[in-house]
Amino acid sequence: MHKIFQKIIIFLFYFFAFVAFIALSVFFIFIFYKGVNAFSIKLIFDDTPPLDALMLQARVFNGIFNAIVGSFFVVFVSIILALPLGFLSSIYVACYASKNVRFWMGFLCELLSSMPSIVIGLFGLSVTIFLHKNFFAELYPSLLISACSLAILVIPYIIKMTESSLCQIPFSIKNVGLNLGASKTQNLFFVQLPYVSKEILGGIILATGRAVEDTAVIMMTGAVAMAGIPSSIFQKYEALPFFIYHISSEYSSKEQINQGFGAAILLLGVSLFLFATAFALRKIISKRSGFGI
Amino acid sequence: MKFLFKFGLVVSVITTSSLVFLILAFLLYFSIPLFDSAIFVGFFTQKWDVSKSLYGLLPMILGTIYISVLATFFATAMSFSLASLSEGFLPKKIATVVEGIIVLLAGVPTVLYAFVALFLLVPLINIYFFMGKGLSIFTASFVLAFVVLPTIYVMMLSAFRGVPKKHIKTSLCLGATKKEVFFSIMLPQAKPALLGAIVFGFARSVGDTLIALMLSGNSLHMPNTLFDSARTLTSHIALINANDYESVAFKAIFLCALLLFIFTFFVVATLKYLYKEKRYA
Amino acid sequence: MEFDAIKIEVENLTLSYGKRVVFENLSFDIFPRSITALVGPSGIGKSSFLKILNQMIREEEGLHVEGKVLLHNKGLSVDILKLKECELPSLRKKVLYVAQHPDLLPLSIYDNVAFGLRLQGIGKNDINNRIEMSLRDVFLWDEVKERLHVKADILSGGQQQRLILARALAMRPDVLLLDEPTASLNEELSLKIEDLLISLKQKMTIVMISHFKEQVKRVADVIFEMRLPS
Ligand SMILES: Nc1ncnc2c1ncn2[C@@H]1O[C@H](COP(=O)(O)OP(=O)(O)O)[C@@H](O)[C@H]1O
Ligand SMILES: [Mg+2]
Repeated sequence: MHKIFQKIIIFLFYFFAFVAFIALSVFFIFIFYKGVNAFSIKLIFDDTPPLDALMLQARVFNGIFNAIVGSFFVVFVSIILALPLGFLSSIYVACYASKNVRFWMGFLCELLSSMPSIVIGLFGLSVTIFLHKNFFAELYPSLLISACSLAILVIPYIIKMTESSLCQIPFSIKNVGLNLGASKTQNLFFVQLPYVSKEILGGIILATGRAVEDTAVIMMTGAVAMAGIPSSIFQKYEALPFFIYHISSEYSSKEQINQGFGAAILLLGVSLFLFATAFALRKIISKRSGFGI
Repeated sequence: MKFLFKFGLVVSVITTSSLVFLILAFLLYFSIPLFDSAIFVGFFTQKWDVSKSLYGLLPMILGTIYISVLATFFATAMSFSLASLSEGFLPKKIATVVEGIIVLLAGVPTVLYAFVALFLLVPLINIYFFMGKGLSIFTASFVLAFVVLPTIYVMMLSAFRGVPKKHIKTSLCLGATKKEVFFSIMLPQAKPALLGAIVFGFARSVGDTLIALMLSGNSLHMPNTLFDSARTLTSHIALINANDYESVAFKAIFLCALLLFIFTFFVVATLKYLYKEKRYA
Repeated sequence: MEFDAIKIEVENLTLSYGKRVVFENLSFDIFPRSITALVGPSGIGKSSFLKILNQMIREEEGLHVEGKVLLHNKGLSVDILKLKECELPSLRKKVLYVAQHPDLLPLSIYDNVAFGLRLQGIGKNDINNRIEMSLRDVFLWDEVKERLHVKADILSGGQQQRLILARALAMRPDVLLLDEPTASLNEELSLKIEDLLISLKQKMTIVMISHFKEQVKRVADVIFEMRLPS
């Protein structure tokens, strides 16, 4: 009886794994087929000469170029904002904090990283409304607001990755500097941080991937369908994931759907590339720590 | 210089740790005007119909529960199977490949699952299975399952890997087969952590916006069956029209967010309490 | 219950971890229903040798075994180094290794012994009988009979060592591999266990590692000494 039961369970394991495998294969085949077919220079730049578009001398009206540029900038600014905050916080937590502070920071980080991104988007929006009403009448949802909200989204990732890599430095290495008479700060900068630089890089890449793909935050805080390339960070902008969402709800022609698939394959490529790089870095790291030096 | 560095440290820590409180403060700031009004109970008992001044969130709460429970069910079935196979049954080489693929899946943007499903799964259901029911709870939760699959899978893998190697070796030494080791040693010992993984996956699926927004139809009716259209709390937030900041409809959005905040808080607190160490890094 | 008389023939056995050779070209016979004692300095590869005999060595990483280990049983002989993965469980049920450090499962005393019996598909009544019998054999029954269902890790080191011996005996193996079975027992108990081993010889083939010269002299039929190459 027991044996039969176990056999059935194992059969179910293979069955569900098979279902997942088929569904995911269909997903990837479909998106690659549609995306690669749709992809072309025209898709990105429309009829504008690519060189002119890249030099920002001619405006692209019907291509995804604006969305690519918008995505790039919003992610870039958000990482610039998140990096120092996350990095310094994690150093504090890993090297200077008491056990209690560490516990609560860990809890807050986990809470923040589990927070639905739409809530963070709404937070960004409400702060904007608040500031708009009370202080800066000129402030509207914009690239800067999106970048700040995305920063909030990725800060916990950066903290967690950096902190855990600092904490996992082998004991033999951790205090080498101290033994040689370095101060705690010197030891941090000359021994510990160089040792975990690859992990930190992996954390940043992962955070970038997270920021690139998130749609819920930017749709609340300033991403729009038609904005061109913003001339300052206080303007509305276009972004790839939002473009894809927008197409799905508003498309009116087959051509637009094709554009959507072109944008999709591009976004997929970027995300997977970032993710795979972070993953490969982690593999390198685990190999190194395997020997323990 | 050194002082500046330490000053930076303290400022950053204070900033990052206050973020959660700031979020809570703003959600409360905007939703508190609703608390003392007579319609407060109505938020949890009524339907939503702005033309009749009804602002009930019940359909969204139910929609959220239906979609995320079903999605967690699908995701658990698949990720538990995959995790069990790769830790207990498959040869090591194949298991490594499976693990690599699924971990990479975590890097697929959510919006793409919804986009592809919209042009592939939805027409399929519309035309061949249930006429006109393509955008429904079922579609949304099936696709959502793939979004949370890698999360649950990775946590389940670490649950299985948390079972001490020596126990596994001992049972092998007594002549246990792979199957017996799995069922009598690994499964019982990994059980608490496996449950944690499911709870965490559930929280993820409650928090996701894009899948439900694009695939569940966003209707404001009370959902009754799996093939009804429904709206989740997250998509309700995403669908606001932020023109009139003072309207009850707009403020009710913050109540949705507050509910999500409280839910997340309880999940994280429970998991933190159950597994003192960090399991989901 | 019939016990099979198994003879083991070791031919040109070489074991290496990575580049480091632990032992080379070992050849000797282990006779059925006898006690063979393995002696030698620590680190020479005695435990590893026992793990080769029940192929637990395959669960360890980065090692390489060469040569032949033939099991002769009722005219049939198999080279256990060539067994398929799926044949190992039945080998390990016949050729049972009792570890040097008590490797208890995180279960009750009762379930620790019952675990192996359940693997053999033995019925409930039989399990109870065998557990009592084997615990009596190792002089543990009186110490634990009141608390069979508490977690086994509350037992003392010596009790744990006897418990894993009882677990092995309950499974009635044909070959018993003992890795320093009396290392954490007092002298009186050691002597009792030695008597037990001598009586077990009627039924099974025993290979044991021991650091005690007196013990080896008393119980062993064959002594096999592993030495560093000089
Ligand atoms: N898993 C392993 N990886 C690498 N070397 C090992 C491993 N297990 C044992 N060894 C080495 O093999 C040698 C023999 O070990 P062992 O069989 O335990 O010796 P003994 O039981 O005679 O004391 C030792 O030098 C030990 O360091
Ligand atoms: Mg040894």
